Amino acid sequence: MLEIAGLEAGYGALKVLRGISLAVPKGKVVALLGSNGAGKTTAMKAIMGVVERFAGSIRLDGQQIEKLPPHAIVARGLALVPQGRELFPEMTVVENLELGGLVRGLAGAELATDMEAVFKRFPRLDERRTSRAGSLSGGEQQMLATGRALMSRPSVLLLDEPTTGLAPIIVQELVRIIRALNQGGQTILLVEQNVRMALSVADYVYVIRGGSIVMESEAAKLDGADAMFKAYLG
Amino acid sequence: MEIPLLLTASGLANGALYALVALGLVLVYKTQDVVQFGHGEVLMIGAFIGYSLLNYLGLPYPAAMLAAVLACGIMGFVLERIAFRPIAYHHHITLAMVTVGLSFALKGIARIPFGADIYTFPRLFPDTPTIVWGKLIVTPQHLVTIGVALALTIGLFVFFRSTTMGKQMRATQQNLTGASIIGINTGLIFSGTWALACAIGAVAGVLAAPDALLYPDMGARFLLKGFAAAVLGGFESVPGAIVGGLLIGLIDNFAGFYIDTAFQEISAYCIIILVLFVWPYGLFGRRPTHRV
Repeated sequence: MLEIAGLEAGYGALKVLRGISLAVPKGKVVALLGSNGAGKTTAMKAIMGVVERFAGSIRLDGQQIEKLPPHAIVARGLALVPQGRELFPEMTVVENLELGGLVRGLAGAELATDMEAVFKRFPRLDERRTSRAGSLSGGEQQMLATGRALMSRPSVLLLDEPTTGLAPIIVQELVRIIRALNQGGQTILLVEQNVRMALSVADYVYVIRGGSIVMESEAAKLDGADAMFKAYLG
Repeated sequence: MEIPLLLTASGLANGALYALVALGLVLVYKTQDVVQFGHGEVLMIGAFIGYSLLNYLGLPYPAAMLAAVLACGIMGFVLERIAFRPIAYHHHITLAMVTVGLSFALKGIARIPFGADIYTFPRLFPDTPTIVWGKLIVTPQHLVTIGVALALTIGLFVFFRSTTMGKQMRATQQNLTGASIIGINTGLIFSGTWALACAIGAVAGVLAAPDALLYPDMGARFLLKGFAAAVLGGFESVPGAIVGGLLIGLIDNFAGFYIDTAFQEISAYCIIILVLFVWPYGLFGRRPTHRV
């Protein structure tokens, strides 16, 4: 379980997050929705320790992690699939996945087993094992970034706008994958602008605006057309 | 036929040294986006440490050289941690200026015990005569230089392709944010890269010193040639640094013989200017492309 309380973060003197609090219970999909510039990606980066955190606490499975550097946070069980995918473009699909498993010290048969599980989940990657990551299509890169994050066997998976720039058919494929991951017990924090997509997979929803959480609700109780909900999203 | 062969042999030996210098520059540049203008002085410090261990402590030649390389590796690790990590995300001009300062500092440190005198650095095989193969004449020192550079190149290739640390270094060089978020300790990679670059610089130093002589300002010439080699190779390419270094060594020698020896002094500048004008991405560099 991931619990965030009063998190403030930003870039130098610029405070982007103004004390957000949210919880991602074990086995659930929680969505953080907001428009451009609301602070969604900053929240993801702050949780991972990539962006400077000014105040607040972050607890992962009961352990405080807000003072840890990114590599220690990944080792504790958080994995981020970032918006820009952030792959290693000159390395092959297999090498990217290997590096994903590094934090768990995966090697030999164990590494191969986990990698085969990723290939089974993403058959398109299986066909492109020796291709350079930089040569993959946008959808394939998203799959590789997700597979790479899964290689670290995260207790909570953070997905930052996974549907950005992808064709509708690929988005549907991603929805199917997120559902399958969650059915397998994976806890997920999903950041999205695509409200319809997020509501179709999330159990609980937070809305962020201007760096603050302005609304929260169980996803099942929300109507995508709700006027107030729309207003909060801007 | 004899003269071109002679020029090729010594050109390759010199080029191997330039390649090692370029390699150190490229490694640091790829990882932290900074041109290490103090790299020539790292080479000089490595050579002085080797000289001191050999002459004052009486260590056997291979042990003294190995210790010098290790010492420079540790120096690189510490330098990155205390001098560059705190400003790692500052503007690259700031970082470059700090490396210029490092260059002056290292020269100053070397002058404290050694003054501005010129020292003779002993050879590994002082009594072995020049080797003659048909029309090819090679000095043992040149053979050692080429052999060590070749072994180091192969070793680095294996290191970057097959070891966990090597793969992490490549990943960090390609995408720093990506490396952070998958759990690579990028700080350790920064320090490790500086350690590797400085150790390679020290190898170049102890190989160069027997021919180039030993003095606190000896690094400047090697930095210039290494810089030209890196530019020719593409500055972000490890194979480019090797090929660039060898080519610079050959161009230097041939131009010095067939045009004028004075040309050797300015050949590096000419090559840098020519490459930047005609071929700005060098032999192995890639024009950056962005998916839209």
